[in-house]
Amino acid sequence: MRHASSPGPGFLAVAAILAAVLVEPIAAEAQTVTGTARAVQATVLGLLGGTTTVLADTGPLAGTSDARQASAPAGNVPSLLTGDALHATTIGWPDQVASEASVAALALSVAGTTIGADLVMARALAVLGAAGSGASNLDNLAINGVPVPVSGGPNQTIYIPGGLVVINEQQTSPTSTVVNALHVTVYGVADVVIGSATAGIY
Amino acid sequence: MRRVISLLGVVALMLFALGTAGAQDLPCDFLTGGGYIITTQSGSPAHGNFGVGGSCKQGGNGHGLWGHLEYHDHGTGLNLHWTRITAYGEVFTASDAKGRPIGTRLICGTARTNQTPDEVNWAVTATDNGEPGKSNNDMFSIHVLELTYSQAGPVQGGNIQLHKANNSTGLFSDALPTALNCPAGVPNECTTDEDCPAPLVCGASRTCCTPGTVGCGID
Repeated sequence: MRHASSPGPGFLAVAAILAAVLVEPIAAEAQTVTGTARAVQATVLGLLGGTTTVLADTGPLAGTSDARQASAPAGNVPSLLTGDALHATTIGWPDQVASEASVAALALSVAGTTIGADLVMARALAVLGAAGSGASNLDNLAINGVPVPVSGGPNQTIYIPGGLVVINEQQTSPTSTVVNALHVTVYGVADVVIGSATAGIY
Repeated sequence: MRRVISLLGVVALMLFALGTAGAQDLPCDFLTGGGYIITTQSGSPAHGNFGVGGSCKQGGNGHGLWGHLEYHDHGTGLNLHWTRITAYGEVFTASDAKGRPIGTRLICGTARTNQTPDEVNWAVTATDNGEPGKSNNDMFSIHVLELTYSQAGPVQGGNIQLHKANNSTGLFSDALPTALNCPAGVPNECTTDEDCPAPLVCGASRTCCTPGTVGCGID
């Protein structure tokens, strides 16, 4: 009579190790990450539709070990805006995503309204299991030459002829946080975002 | 100029100290930032606008390490656009009151400028002193070797941010600044010992070297 042999303790140990090795990296990659940053996105509207110009765009984060960047010495959308030292980054980890974008020496002119700032910067942070967060830095912001006090709070809105300016615009959802440092809308004319950072992880 | 040179000397000294302590085997991290400092190279205060990134992570596409530098001095008109990141070094690291990393990194590279026919070597030291950047005196300094251009100061607008390592960054030893890959940040040529940051001395070959090593007091 033959007896069936049981797996020895050595075999079980090896099996346990293999299981841990195979399962752990899969668990670490289970998170879905969203990350992107761009210095400028400007849409100029016309009778035949709109033309969108994007400057210094990182593109989407590919995973939790990815890090992307984009930069340009200067940015120019003809007849609309100029800026300096365009900078955008997005970085992923298994437990968080951080994105930021900035433009210096912004000069924007749309439908008779001029907007300037020494520095415009957006930052977004997503942490696994916690609410996303965002912040904007705007230095020496002025509309038509008049200094604008920046409150620091989200979605500070200033009305301009034919539209509005939203400072530190923040859009949050369960899966991501979007921070637009400066969002200028003149209805039917232009839609401009300076400094946009998106971060999400779930 | 003298202040920036002495800053670079301190950087070289700390990199030397960290090297001998084996600290370069620590996981590397990321530094990102944008903003401006007040420059005086032109003789009058002006904005030095910057966007910067650095890490030991390979950047891909022939650009060396991950990172970038855009810099525009509105006083002198210097406009600098990075072409390669060649080194990334830890100068010091601490933690703020919330346990987040703060510290200084040395980022080195090459760049095109509007004032030189050839590429130049540059070195940036950037300090994250916590949040928010402007109120906590984040710092930025830049040295461009071929232009003898050096400016430094607190970040007036914007922010410098240190980020922890991820699985792609490798170790600090993968990107350690040296006189070879960071000539703008790590002094090399010398005439006397005073040209070199202590404890380095001026060796027989007229380059800064570590006392007691081959070519530096030992044949």
